[in-house]
Amino acid sequence: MIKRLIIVLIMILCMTTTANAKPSLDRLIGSLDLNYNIRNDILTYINNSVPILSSPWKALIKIAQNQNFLYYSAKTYSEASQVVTENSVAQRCLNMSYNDDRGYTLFKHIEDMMGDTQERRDHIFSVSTYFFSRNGFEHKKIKTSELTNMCESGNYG
Amino acid sequence: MRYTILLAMIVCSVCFAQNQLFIFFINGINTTPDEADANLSKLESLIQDNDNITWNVLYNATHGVIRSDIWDVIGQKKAEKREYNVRLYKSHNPKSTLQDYLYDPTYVGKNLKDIVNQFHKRFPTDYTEAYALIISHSQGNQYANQLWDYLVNGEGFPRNHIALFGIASPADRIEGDTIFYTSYVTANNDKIINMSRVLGNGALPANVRIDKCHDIACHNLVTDYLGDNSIRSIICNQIGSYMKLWLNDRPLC
Repeated sequence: MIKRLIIVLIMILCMTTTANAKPSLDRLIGSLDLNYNIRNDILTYINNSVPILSSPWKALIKIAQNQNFLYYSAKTYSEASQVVTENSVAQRCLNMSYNDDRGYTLFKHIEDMMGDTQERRDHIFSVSTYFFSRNGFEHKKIKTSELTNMCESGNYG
Repeated sequence: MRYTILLAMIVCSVCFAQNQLFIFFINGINTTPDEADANLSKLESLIQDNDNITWNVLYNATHGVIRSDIWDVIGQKKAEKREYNVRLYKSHNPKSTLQDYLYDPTYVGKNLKDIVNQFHKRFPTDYTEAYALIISHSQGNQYANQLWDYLVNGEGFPRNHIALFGIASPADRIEGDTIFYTSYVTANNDKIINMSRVLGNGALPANVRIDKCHDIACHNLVTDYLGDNSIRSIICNQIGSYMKLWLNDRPLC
């Protein structure tokens, strides 16, 4: 009788722990637009900030998608490193689209939204440190002419 | 005849040997990998395409701004008073206790070993034709000084193959030989650096002013330092000076 009670108690404890852990990560991820895999508020910000389907829009969408993947889904260094490299290209496309700091400001706003709570910010830095503190990441060497083609096609890989 | 050909080959190989410049960027605290790379891209955009320049980030990871990174800077600033000693770097294993940050005179930043590792991954082992220019922002300057010291004094890296350039530096020095007229830019209205002056030996004196601050602390690399035309021009000219020295090339700034 006591054994059975202990087993039931352990099961309840396990279920509670799992139930607590899962919503916690879900809470960090937030409410996603399932077409783009980007948080709804971030997608709204992008759509309101730049013309839809323009080169900067494509770059911002890619950056937001990649950040979501990096911080909540990436499992290996090579996966994480690949999205940072893509974001690096997308970021350079953003810079190319504007003569001033607007590209950087748009990017920075998305970054700030990604880490808009202390929990999220802690999570982002813990993932970044886990993947990149020891090995860093590669900054792809791209000529301006190549970059122009990549930006136009929206292929940042 | 055979000797003439051999001699000609040697002469040609010397003529065509092209130096390579590796420009590294070390970010400050509270910076994600994407943002560190965005900062590097902005610096890179100051210079036209050049096949002989490779740009890379030495990522200074954030371990938590309040509970770790600010204390890391405090520990580094306090330890600036001692003479650098590479043997300490090799044996030191920084912990995260307040005791360490405040009272350990041998304290080195907790990311130094990782930054050294990243440098070795991205810089050729044969450095006869390779040169490194390390540009740092904010706390990155503390790591740049420690990295220089580790490489030059600890590993025998040739000191004429490496130079540092600091932006918004909280450090009390820029290691290495100052070949050109300036080796750093710090604004007198940069609030973060002005606050850091109370620590350790203080920081290098400010030598520029940012006319229009976009960031409340006037400390952001892209919007404040690179957003100011005159500072952007100083940074570009400084990179250009090293390009002239090591690659015999000069960008239009």
